[in-house]
Amino acid sequence: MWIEKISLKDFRCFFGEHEIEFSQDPKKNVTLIHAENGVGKTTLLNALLWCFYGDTTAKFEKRDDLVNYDARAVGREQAYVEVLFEHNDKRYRSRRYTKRGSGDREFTIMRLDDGHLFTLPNPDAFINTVIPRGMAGHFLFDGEHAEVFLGEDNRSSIRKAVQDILGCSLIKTAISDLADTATYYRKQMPTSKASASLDVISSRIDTLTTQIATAMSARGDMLGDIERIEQQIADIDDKLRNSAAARQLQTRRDRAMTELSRARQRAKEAQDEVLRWLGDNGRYLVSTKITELAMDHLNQQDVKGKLPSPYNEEFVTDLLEMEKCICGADLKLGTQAHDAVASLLHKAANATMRSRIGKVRAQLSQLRTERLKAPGRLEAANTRFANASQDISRLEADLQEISEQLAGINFDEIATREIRRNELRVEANRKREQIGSLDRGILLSESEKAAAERDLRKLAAEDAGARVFVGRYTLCETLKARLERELVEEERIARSVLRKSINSILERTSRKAFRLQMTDDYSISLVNDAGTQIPKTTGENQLLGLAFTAALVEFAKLRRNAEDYRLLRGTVAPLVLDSPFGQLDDEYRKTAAQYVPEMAGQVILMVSTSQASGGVLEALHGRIGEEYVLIRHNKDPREDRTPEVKQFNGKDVETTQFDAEYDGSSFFRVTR
Amino acid sequence: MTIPEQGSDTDQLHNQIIEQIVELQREFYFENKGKETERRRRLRDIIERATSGKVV
Repeated sequence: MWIEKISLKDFRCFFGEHEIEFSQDPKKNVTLIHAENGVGKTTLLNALLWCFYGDTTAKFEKRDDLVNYDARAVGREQAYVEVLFEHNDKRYRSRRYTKRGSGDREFTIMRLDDGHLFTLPNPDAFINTVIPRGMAGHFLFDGEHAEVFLGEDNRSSIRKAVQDILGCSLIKTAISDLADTATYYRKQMPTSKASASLDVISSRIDTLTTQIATAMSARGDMLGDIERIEQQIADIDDKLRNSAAARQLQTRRDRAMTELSRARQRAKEAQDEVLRWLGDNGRYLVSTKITELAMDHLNQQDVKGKLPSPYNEEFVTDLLEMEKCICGADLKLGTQAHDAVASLLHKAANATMRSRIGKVRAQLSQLRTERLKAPGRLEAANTRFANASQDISRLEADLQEISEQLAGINFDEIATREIRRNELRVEANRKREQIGSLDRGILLSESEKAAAERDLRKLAAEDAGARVFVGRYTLCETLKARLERELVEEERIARSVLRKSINSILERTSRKAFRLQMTDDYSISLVNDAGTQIPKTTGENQLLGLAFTAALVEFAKLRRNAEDYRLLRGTVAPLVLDSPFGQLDDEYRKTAAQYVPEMAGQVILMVSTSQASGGVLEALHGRIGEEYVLIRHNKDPREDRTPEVKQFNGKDVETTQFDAEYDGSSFFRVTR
Repeated sequence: MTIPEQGSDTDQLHNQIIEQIVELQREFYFENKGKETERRRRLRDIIERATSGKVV
């Protein structure tokens, strides 16, 4: 179904006739309606529902009071809503009037063929084939009440939603009718010789049936209680996780402090080593030039044969004093031989000089060796220092981060929370024990009921009159049990499809890495990758509500050509979203708004100014096909009130008007 | 219509009865809403026809 246009006449806050057209452009599939609170968003949503089914949402106040008060005041007692729509390539006009006289037709649907109008004989049946009534409510998302749907104790609402979209209304009524009919036959058994016993057994079966139903209901309530407790525990766990994180942080801090102390010690040692090295080797570094020159000079002298000295001074002097050479020649003063030996004194050196030169050479050699060794030792010390400094920086940053995280934790509440958590655990375990006890009771009652039914059949077999009724009774019970089993299996498949779909939507829209868990008894929770339940914030609850609605719409579309005769077919219908972003923060709003056009073929989105903020309009850019503002009219004089003017697509619109002809609302088109 | 005693035949017959019951529910779901008494009366007709020959 695609809705072309809705017209309202004297319907609730709409005095006189008003109409809007909805976008049918598949690319610009969003019709955006701006409306502040109390201006008529919910009325518009309910007008659609009422036109098709004569019904409104449970939250719609004064549901039977539909005619506009000002219209009544001028003598008009009937309101109507008309919707022009397309379904399976055919156009229809649906119109519903409020009741007036007994002869009026309240609801009509006409098919528009080549300019001719054909009235459909059974409009209720037809509209139920277009969108089954049970499914319709799920195409209307009321953001202000979504948290109720997905809040605590929500299992029955979720189960109903899944069953509605699954189209199992027929199976459900069949099961209910078969249960009722079975009881009818059991009570119809005629009076006979065995009737007294039959009556007793029949009463016993009634009692057991009631006992089982009561126990099942109590079991359901307890499951709901446990679910609430688990949610509270998850909430506390989240806070305690902060506390646990505090403990972890403190451990981390202790470890970091120890590491930091060690790193600082290493840095100091490395620094000392550098200083020591400088003390030990500085002189080699600063004397490099002198050392080189001195060594060069000594080497030159060495080459020239001057060093080491070839002659001992004391020895030459002794020879000259003795005037006798070691070869036996006379060294008398004035002789050539004396002069030759005396000339050796020029090259001779005494012991002190030789010792000094030897020491200088040794020192210079050491200087050279140490200088060659110097860079390696210094480099090693410098590397150790750099590593230690790096560790210090890292550890200091860690400590700063730990400190900031610790600053955000309230340690005083930890103990209280821990105590409350333990109490809740005890309570949940007690409830689980009670459920166990109920389960045993249910099993016993069912077993006793089965035995009673066997007795009943046995007794009835002795009585021809009763036998017929037992046969009918048994058939009803057999068929009922089979349909119940089939319904459970269909629901299991539906849950699996919806779960997958919701998780895929959450993956696209949520900034947290969590996924939805839907148990067989329709308990919904959000869990992280480790499977730990995490608490739902109000915003996440609303996001979950949107994801759930989108998944239902998708599932309905998937089932639009379903062949199973036991189930109603799914459908394609416009999705009406009323205030879907109210509880979301800016980031979630933007992500959700980006996803809105994907939620259905045709989307009608109603938002207030504040809900349209935070990047919503930017996110919807290029996807809005029609845009309207709902304007409030007041008969009251303006007096000192400041005009309320807002801009929509460059158009100034006075959203609240005074001195008006009527009290109510009207549409103003602001499509770009 | 009677109730056979063999398992597979019984299943087949139950299928037929369920089909009739669901068809009845469908008719009332779309066209005769709010007429539960009438719907249950017709359900009894189906059950009685099915059990008219043999006892299940």
